[in-house]
Amino acid sequence: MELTSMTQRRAVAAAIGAVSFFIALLTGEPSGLLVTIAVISICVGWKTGLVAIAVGSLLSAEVLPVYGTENGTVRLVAFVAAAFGLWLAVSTFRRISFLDEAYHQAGLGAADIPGLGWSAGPDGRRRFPNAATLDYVGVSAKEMREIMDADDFSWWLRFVHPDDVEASMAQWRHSLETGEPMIGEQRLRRFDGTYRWFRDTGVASRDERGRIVGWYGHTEDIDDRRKAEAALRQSERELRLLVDTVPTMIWLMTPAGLPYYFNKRFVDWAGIDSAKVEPRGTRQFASHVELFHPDDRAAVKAVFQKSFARGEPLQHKGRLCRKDGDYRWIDSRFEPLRDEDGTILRWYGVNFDIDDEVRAQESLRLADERLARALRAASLSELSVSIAHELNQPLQAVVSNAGAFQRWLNADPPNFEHASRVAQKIIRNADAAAQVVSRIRALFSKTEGEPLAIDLNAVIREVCDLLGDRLASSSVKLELHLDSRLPAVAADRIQMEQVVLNLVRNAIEAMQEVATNVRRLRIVSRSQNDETVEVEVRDCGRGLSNPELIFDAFYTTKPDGMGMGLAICRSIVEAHCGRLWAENVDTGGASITFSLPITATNSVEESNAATVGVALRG
Amino acid sequence: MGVVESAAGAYSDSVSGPIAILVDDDTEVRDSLQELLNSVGIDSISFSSTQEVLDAELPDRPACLVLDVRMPGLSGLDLQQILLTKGIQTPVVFLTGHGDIAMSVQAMKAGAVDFLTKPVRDQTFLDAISAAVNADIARRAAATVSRKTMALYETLTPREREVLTFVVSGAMNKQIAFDLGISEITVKLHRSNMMRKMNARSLTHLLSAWQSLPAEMR
Repeated sequence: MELTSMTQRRAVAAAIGAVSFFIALLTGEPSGLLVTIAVISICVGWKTGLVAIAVGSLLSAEVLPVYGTENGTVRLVAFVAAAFGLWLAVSTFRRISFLDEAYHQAGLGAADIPGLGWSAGPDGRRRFPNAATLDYVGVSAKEMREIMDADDFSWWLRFVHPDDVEASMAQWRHSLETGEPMIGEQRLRRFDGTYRWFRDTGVASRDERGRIVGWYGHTEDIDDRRKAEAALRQSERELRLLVDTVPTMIWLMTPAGLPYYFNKRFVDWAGIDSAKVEPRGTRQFASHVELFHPDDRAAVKAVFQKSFARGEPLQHKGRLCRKDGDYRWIDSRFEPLRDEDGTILRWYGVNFDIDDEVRAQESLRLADERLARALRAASLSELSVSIAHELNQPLQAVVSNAGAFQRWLNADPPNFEHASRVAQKIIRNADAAAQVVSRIRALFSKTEGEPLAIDLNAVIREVCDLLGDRLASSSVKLELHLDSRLPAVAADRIQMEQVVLNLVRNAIEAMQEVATNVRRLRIVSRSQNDETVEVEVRDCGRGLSNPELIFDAFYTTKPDGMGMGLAICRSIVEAHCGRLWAENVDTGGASITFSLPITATNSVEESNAATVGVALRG
Repeated sequence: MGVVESAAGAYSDSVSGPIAILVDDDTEVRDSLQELLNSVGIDSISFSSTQEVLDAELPDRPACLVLDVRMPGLSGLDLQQILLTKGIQTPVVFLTGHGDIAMSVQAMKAGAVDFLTKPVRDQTFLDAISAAVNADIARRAAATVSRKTMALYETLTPREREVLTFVVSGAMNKQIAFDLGISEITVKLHRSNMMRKMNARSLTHLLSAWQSLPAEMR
């Protein structure tokens, strides 16, 4: 019969104990109790065995006097000694059989561990019972046995890389003390002396009473994985370095539009507190918008929201706050990254600092406009100021030099040397004044050479572009109906711009007094027949009280007008063999139209406004 | 003595002689004005922008500034304001190609000596320069007297200063003694010490010295 459970064993022990107890009582022979003690020690445990010895001794002491005191004490002592001897023998046998079982039986099991396996005794002494392990480290089974017998507790460490010994030992000790599973990574030496990375996993094996009877472990070669991971880390580092070093600001957003990542350049540029941005994705998009210039925020929000809602790539220009508080123009571009189902995973964005270019363009545009203004003489008073300035400078020089000239001559004796030098200067100054005059004259007459074939549509677009701000600030809605097949005309481009600019400005001004919702400006270009093209500028103002009078010089309807603009326009158009006329429109407002003859050649050539402008400014 | 010599003479005396400082962005205009000033023996230096004037160290001698209004960068009117805030009181003559009334009012209010428009007659220009330079000479002389008097005033004890204040307001010794709570003899003593230290031979002399002091010290 096999006694499997503790209760069964205890029951048997109790039964045998009780039987021998009664026999001892009946026979009056205490040595019968020794059987009980032996059974208890074997079946229950050594502590209970000690208790049984004590109880047995007391019982013997009770039993013995019944038969007189003869040899009573000696017999009691003999009993106690016998009981202890029995108990010691039982417990020693139990320990020996346990260790024997642990080592011999574990040895059998460990050989079956797949891969590189090892086992260890409860005292922590390891062994490599498995053939694969022995092969790896290059130890034969015989050598293994010798190593085991040599009683070197940590012999296995000689196969561990010297740099890993300490950590490995510490982990092993910790597991031995606590009984916790051991997981560690270390380099193990192969038979040929090379080291490879291994992941070492060991768990304790326990007996039915929870005592650790041994350890079973498994080492897994992770060298390739480790190297791959290192390579991955390296490449990730390089990628990160690249992302942080490229001269542009890179950032990522979640599909919902929350900032997720800013590269170092962005963080440095904007002075973003990276501590605030973490944890990723929780920062509100609103706070990102706050980085933009107050005037741009609404637009930024609209563009981003639209793009995020539709999943379209976005491009946006706005002013972003740099860490020093300066707002700089930024060109932002975003592309969504999608998975195979088309779901957006991330938004990848770059920001280019285009502030310098924008400002350069802006100043160029301003310079252009300034030039254009001076050149086109939209307002005669402005022109007169320019002319006065241009002329007054050389005149002032003439007057001063002439004064000096006179004084050198009137001196006693006259200083002819100085006078002659000053006279030279007077001539130079007078020449400069004459040049100014001829440049002004060139403005209004066609001494610049043969007119070039120009595209009137381009002229119209350029003028509308130039006046874009003005149109917007006056709430005028612009309607362009330009004939895309408009033939080229032979004309001076600058003068044509001047005419269109004047007409458009007049139209804008004519609508100042009507409600903003009806302020519409309509510019039409059409080819009238095979010989002429027409450009019509129509406003929705009050109309004209006398359409023919408005082209007369010094006739004006504006309080601060000079009455020269349309007169100049008409003379320019007529100088180009064209016509300029005005009409009232039935639906309200006025329409001013000019027609020009079509040039023989249809080649449209861009004339360069800038060169003429520079020549004028001189 | 010829003009050449007198001009050279004026030049050798340049350490203390007047100088005109011309600021105009037009080289020809600057050059012609310098010629004109040279022909009447007035030294001149010229700058092509207001910023150059601010960067340069102006000579310590009677001078006047001739400013154009419209120039690249700061205008002449701006420069006038900056110099005023810096405490530089060199008289200013404006010479501009397109002055309007508002501009000239602003300039004159800020203390300009004259506001001329280009082209200006040579004599008109020279008269304005001469007036400005004379104003500067007078200003510098007054400043010198004031400095000297201030130095004398600094040597007075607090009591002597009190007595001085009473004396120039016309108080008699008896009255001063009563107001200060001291004897008349002591007042006399302070008074004679004060007169001596102020280098004043008479009450009239003392009064004129007193008036040359800056208002905040009186």
